[in-house]
Amino acid sequence: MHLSYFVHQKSYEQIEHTLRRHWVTFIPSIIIFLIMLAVPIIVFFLIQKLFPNLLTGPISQPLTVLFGSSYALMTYLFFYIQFIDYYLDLWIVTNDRIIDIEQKGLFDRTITELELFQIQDVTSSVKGLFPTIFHYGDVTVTTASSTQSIIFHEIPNPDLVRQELIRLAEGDRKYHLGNAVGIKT
Amino acid sequence: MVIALPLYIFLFLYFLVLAIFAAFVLINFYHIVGSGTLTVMSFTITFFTATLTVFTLYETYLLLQGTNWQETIPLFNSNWITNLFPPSTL
Repeated sequence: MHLSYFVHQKSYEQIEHTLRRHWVTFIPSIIIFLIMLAVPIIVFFLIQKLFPNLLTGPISQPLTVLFGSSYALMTYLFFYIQFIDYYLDLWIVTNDRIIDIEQKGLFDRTITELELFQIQDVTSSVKGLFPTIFHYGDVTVTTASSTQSIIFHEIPNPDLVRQELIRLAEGDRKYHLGNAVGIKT
Repeated sequence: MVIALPLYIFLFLYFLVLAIFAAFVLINFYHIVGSGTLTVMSFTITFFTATLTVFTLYETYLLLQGTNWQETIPLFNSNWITNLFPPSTL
């Protein structure tokens, strides 16, 4: 993962963490995909039992095959798009800033940056049965500005991420303060 | 009078569906490559989707072998109306 794909990387900047949503959050999409795949198989057996001529007629057979093939391809496409939507949602934490990359569908991507030294408050939350079992949740990072905040959605080990963000923010503040003092003297 | 639709029209529609499918798959792949997220995971999913696609297209080709695409689907036949009111034998 190279930061330059998304933003201009500073000379001293290093990627500390690259975070994505927990893999468990992708399971509903997998289940929907499997159900969509199972539908034509069930329909095939029903047609075979109730309307067997539909599968052998010179017109009905090719039409059934074309429709079934189109449905299968659209199912694969749905799964692939869902994966892209899940996989391209990521949060990059460097030693200088946080970058929030949100992919909404295929033609909508939002990138938000937040300097670490601006962080005022970091809150982690784990709500629900599956998040508690698999230990994933949200981390909300707020700055002094009421309009700017970044939310890490459904990431693994949000408590550890919260502690890490606080540590990095403190380190970045000391770095900027050290630079300011150095400039003054 | 008979109005009929040839079967190959549906084959052209299928090719249109294929073109749309290919376009979206390429867009998806461009997103992966363009965002630098071509990892083992994304490659595996892409490969899995491509394998399923190739398998489906091959099966479709096998099942459609021997199809007479010149067959027509009757949309309207004037006999349907005339047969509704058969001439009475008095």
